[in-house]
Amino acid sequence: MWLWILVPVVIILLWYIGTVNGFRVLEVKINEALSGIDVALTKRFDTLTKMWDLAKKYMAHEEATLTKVVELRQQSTGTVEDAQKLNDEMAKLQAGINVVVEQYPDLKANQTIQEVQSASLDGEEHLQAARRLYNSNVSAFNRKVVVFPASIVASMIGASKKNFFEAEEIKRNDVKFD
Amino acid sequence: MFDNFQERRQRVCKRFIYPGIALLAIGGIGFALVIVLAKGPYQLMYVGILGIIVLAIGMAQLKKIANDFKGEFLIDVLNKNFQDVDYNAKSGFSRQYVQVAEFLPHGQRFNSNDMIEASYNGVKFKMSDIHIEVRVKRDDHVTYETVFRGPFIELDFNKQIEGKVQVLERGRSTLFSKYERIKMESVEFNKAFKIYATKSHTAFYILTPHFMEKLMTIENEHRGAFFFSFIEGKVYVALDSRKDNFEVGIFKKFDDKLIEEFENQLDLVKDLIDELKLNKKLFG
Repeated sequence: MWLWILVPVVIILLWYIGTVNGFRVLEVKINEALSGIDVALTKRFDTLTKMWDLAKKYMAHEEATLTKVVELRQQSTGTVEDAQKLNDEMAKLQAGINVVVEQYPDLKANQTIQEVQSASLDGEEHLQAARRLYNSNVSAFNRKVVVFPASIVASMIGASKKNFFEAEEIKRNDVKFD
Repeated sequence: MFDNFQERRQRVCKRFIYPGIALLAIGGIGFALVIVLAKGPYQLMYVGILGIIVLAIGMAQLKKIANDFKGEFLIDVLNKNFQDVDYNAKSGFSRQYVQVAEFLPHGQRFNSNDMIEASYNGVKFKMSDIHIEVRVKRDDHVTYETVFRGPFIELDFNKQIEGKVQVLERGRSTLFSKYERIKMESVEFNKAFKIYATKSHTAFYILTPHFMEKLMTIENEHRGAFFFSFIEGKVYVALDSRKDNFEVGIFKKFDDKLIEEFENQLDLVKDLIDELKLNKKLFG
């Protein structure tokens, strides 16, 4: 008689522990991916400031954007929303620098600028990789949060859906169907 | 262009193959009579042995003609398609060299030949056919089973990466990877390949959506199971096609089709470099 009660209880308990651990593992993966985004953003910020130093005499009008980027970076609390805002501003600054580099042939021919631009492209690829990895983990986490029966455990431990790291505003704006 | 080889083959057939078959047939008849009559012209069996020797000599000569053909025309095909070509039919990768890729079974027998070193669109590569067999013991007798046969290619990779990434096609038994299993966001890609990496970020850095799409295209265009390994500026590719590339059958007709086959067998390297854009350098 006891066995009939004990066996289902043990099974449910093991399933509960397994599911909670599953959520915790995914949360760790999400945090790791978020720190990957932070590393990529730092690299991007470094290359941007190098490019700015090289091109600043041509682009006084972009100074406000740079100031905003620096402010956002200082105020960042490490959340995905902050990373998103910082990334969007850096994309605007990058676009501004690219336009200036294209406008001035002597600047475009500068060896250092070319090297920094290459590093910037690579930094961009790292950022995209970090974004995709983060979103892939968030997607797995969110699926678990909403799919029954794991959704019961999710509500018990207070796990809720997490925000994705969206593609840069400037890139989304590239695709317009007017 | 091919007449010389065709004539040499005919001469060998007339001198060795046809007489060898005839002697073997006489020997076979003698053997059958000895079996049926329990006595008889057992001397004819010696004729059969002579037939086997003559046939073996003929076969060796036919093999030499096929190799001469390969030596003469494959070099031309290679020079037409690639730059800085260095080809050696008899050499290949060592067992230790291919183990760097960490996806091939060890096996007890290892053979590698048809070593090609060249560059295509500025990308250096090395390619050789390899054949790996494992020893299998069944009912007190030992046999060897092929676990891998096909081209193994080392190419320069255009991204600087940290750690290692492996992309292994599903469906054929491979060694289990010791690295973390990674799932990409593409369901189709995950269905076709298993991905392992020392760092998940590196896997996502290499396997961009475009790169994954191109790997799928290459996988669809070439028969066999693909294995990719990305390690420190190199990409190692192996295709278990169960075929020995650039082999000319001893009775295969010497014609343009054979040259076309050589060309087709080089398509894999060209597809890898073109489709995966390995010639596009991010640095320098």
